[in-house]
Parts: sequence; C-alpha cells; structure tokens
Amino acid sequence: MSHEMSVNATRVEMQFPSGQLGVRDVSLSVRRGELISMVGPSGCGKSTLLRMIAGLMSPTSGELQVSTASSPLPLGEGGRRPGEGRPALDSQNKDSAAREADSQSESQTHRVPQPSPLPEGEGTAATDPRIAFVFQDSNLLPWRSVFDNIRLPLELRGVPFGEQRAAVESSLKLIGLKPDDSAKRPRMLSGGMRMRVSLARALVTHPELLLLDEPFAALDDLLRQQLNEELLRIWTEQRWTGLFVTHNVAEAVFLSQRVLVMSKSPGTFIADIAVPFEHPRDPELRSTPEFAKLTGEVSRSLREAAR
Amino acid sequence: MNRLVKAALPPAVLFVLVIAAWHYAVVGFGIKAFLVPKPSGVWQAAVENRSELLFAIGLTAAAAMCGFVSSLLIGSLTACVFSQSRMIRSSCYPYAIFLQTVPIVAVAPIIVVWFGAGFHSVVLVSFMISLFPIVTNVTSGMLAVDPDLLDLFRLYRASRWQVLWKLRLPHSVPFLVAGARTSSGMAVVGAIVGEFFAGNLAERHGLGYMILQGTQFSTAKLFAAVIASTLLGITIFGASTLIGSTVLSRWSDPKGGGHPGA
Ligand SMILES: Nc1ncnc2c1ncn2[C@@H]1O[C@H](COP(=O)(O)OP(=O)(O)OP(=O)(O)O)[C@@H](O)[C@H]1O
Ligand SMILES: [Mg+2]
Repeated sequence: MSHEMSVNATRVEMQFPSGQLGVRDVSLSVRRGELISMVGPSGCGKSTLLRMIAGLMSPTSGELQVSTASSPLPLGEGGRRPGEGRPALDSQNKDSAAREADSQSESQTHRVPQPSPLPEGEGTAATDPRIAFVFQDSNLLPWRSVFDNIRLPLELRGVPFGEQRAAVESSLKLIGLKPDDSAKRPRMLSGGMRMRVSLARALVTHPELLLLDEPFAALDDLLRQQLNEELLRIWTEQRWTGLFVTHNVAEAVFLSQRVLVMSKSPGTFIADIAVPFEHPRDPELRSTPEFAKLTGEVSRSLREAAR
Repeated sequence: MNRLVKAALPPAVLFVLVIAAWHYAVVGFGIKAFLVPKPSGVWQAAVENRSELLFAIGLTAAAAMCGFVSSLLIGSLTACVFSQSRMIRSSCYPYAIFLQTVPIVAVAPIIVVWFGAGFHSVVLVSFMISLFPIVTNVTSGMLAVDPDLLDLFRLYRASRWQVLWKLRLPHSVPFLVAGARTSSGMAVVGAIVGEFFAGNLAERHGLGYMILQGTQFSTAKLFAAVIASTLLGITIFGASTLIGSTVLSRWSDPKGGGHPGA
C-alpha cells in the first residue's frame, strides 16, 4: 500500500472544559508508514493525544494535520471512498460538507480557532475512515460473536455482507484466529484472544493509520511478546502508519522505529529516540546487548520524564 | 429435573406446614368461619365457584399480560427517546417519577372517570403501574454504555440511529430483563386494583371484583380469590424470570449455549 497517512502536530494543546490540561505544546511529525512508540508517565496525556489524532476530540490550540499522499483512497475491499454508503451521516454532521471535501482533497486539518471539542452525542464525530483505534481493554460488544464484532466497522459503513464476510475471514487469518473461534462470544475467550479480535476489528477496514492505546497492557509477558511479534509481522506486510502507546519499554523498543518520551502531566515530548534495528525483526533481538542499551536509554529518559 | 425437585421441595414442605398450622389454629382457637375459614372451607368454596374462579383468573391474567406487554414496549420506546437527549430526560423524568409515586389506588378512579369501566381501563391501570421500572431500567442501561464503546462507534462514524440500534439497545437488554421481573409482579397488582374500580361492569369479572364481592358475601370465597391472585402473581413473575434468564443467556453466549471448543 502506498497511501499511508502522515501526522503533523504543531504546538498542540488540549485543555479540558474543567481547565485541566491534557497535553501542552506537543509537536510531532510522523512519516508515512512509520511505526512509532510513545511512552510516558501515567496521566501525561498519551491517550488524549491519540484521541485528538483520531478526531475524537479537537485540540484547543495548535495545529494538527493528518494527511495522505494521494486521494481519494481505497477503503476496505470495495475500494469505496470515505463517505460512501453512509447516507445517515451527512444530516448529522454539522461540518460534514467541509469535512467531506477535506477527505477528498489532500488533507484534513484542525486549525485554530477551533470549534469547541466535539459534543459527546452520537453521530457527530469528525473522524477519518482511514484511521483505526485499538483500545486498552479489548472493547468488544459482549452480545456479538467474534465474527460480528470484527465486521462491525464494515457494517456501520454499509459494506455488503458478502464483502464483510470475506474481509473478516482474511482478518481472522491475519491475526491468527481459527475459523471455529468466529462463532464464540468475547466472554468465552482468553484475554489474549480478545485482544486479537480487537486487532482484527481494527485491521478489517485496512486502515492507513493505526492508533494503539496500550493494547497489550493487561496481558502477561509471554503473550505480550507473541502479540508484539505478530503485530510487527503484520506491519511489515502492510506498512500502515502506526502510533503505539505503551508503558512497557521493551515493547516500545522492539516494535518501533522511534520511541517518543513524554513528560509528566501535562505532557509534552522530551525525547525522540531512534531505534535503528531493521525489519523484519527477530524475537531474539530482545536478548542482544544493543537492545538492552536502547531500553536502558529509554528507561533513563522516562525516569527524567517522571521527575 | 433433579434440580427442579430440589428447588421445589423446600417451599412445598413449608406450604404443607403453613396449611396445617392454619387449620389447627382455626380449629384450636375456635375462630369463626366468617373471620378466618378453614383451609378445607376455602378449598370447598374454590371448587363450588370453580367456573367463576377460573374465568376470573383468566381475565385478570389477560389484563395483567396486556398491561405488562404494553409497558415493555412503551417503556423501552420511552427509554429510547430519553437516551437521545439530556433535555428530554430532564424535562420528562419528573413526570415519570410522578407516575411511580402517585398511589395507583388514587389514580384508578380517575381512569374510570375518563375512560369508563371495563377491560381496557383495567389494562391501563396495570400498564401504568408496571411502566416505570421498565423506563428507569432501560434508560439507565442505555446511558451506562462504556464511553470507549461510544468512541468506537463515533470513530466509525456511526449514525445516531446506529448507535441506538446496535449499541444502546442491545446493551440495555440485561437492564430490561431486570426491570421486566419487577414490572411483571406489579402488572398483576395493577390489574387487581384496576378491577376494584373498573371491573364491575362486566357480567363476568376478574379476581379483583371477586375479592370485592367476597368481602360482602363469603369469606371463604374471598380467601379463594386472594390465594388465586397470589398464585397468578407468582406464576407470571416466575414465567418472566424464566424467559428473562433464557434471553440473558442467549444475549451473552452463543446460540444453543455451546462451550469453548464446541
Ligand atoms: N475528559 C477529561 N476531562 C478532564 N480531564 C481529563 C479528561 N480526560 C483526561 N483528562 C486528564 O488529562 C490528563 C491526561 O490524560 P490521559 O488519559 O491522556 O493520560 P495517559 O497518558 O493516557 O495516562 P495513562 O498512561 O494512565 O493511560 C490526565 O491528567 C487526566 O486526568
Ligand atoms: Mg491512557
């Protein structure tokens, strides 16, 4: 794929209505197809930043730009453009005309002065269909089977069922789930399996920008390593742009090409550490001295961040 | 089956004990039959009036079911509306609470004045008393949706309708089941109270009217009607609990209740 999105943030600040600052003065530049990790003390604003990039809320100042090289972009199996097959959307969306025009053109920009943060209501998100988000807990619908959970994003976009099925099946396979698993309900799955389903749901739309908010935080170390390897394999195959938030330094280094370190709340980036190991990466990489040296460096920077 | 026997045995034993205690208390203290009839007297009255009693049970059950089912439908629909806007919620909730706290016994005569006596008014009283638990439970179920799930739907640009239909409504099913359990019992109470006021027109009447009559004519018949009302309440409550737990297990487990690896 050659359409991955890049992210550019300039002096972005997020102030909640309560007056609390989520992040301050965040500048960030993510190149197309890059996989970046973000670490930082708890509460420093990592989730806030991801949510702003996802379009779930708008920065209160600064500029945040999510853009692609070429447009319009194929989405999912059907090569449908953003906005198609969702007739209900436009009437809901105040600035949908502008937004729609945006996604047809080169980029989508949040500029100052900003409209107030998106209302909490439904159907009002100014989100980009090429972005997918993986939440910390697997965030699955308990009343839906694995299959029905994974196809949800396609269903919401009005993709025909046949296409949904094909996409779900390839997504299941990609993420290492057996076809038998697809009839199960989330509560019958282990934590690791649930996380796989959540990943499969995010990947089913063939996103160009994947935002992952501590997806493996609740898993044991072995499972975490396995999923890291699988995620990396998928990224190597598909080369979407990825932003991965984690508290685990080894995970951050193993996965990404760069590790960004955020200061404590309200967070801003204080370090940008390049990870020079080339892809595909071998699981054994974790036991090399170079790896240890880098994790040491990131940990040191994190300790500084927490001060 | 075994489980059923285990569950049914203790209450059955208690039932026999209570009946025996009742009998010996009446006989032992020489209580007059017009105050407290013997269990055998009640049974006799029930058998003598069996066609009237059975019809009354059927009529009251029908009224209660109509009231209950309409409260399920209207209650869920109201909750859907409530879930859509804080303004609607805050302006309508006080009236919903009014509906719950106003004594139904006081409202029933008004309903008779407005809508006349008859089956429909009985249903209306039953509906009014059983509506509230559904509205509150389903509304809170719709509002209790995990914010992350709402974000997920917003991320995929779900329409308001999709959020309601594919997220809020299914999420509130366990809440609906809990509300329905409370509400089913109240629907029976509502039907009987309704019949006190609105059930006296029909040639053939329900349990509520029978109870009223019983106070004037025969204590044994009154007892029979009261016991029949209780049994009806228990039956409807039990049925709705059973249906509810079936719905719940379907809701969270795959069809047929399969197990991992099946
Ligand atoms: N809706 C909100 N209203 C007010 N303050 C908020 C809101 N959401 C987050 N915050 C605050 O913003 C700051 C950043 O929160 P955020 O969740 O982004 O941190 P985080 O880095 O993701 O933390 P963690 O590592 O614990 O997940 C915190 O101080 C938090 O209390
Ligand atoms: Mg977070």
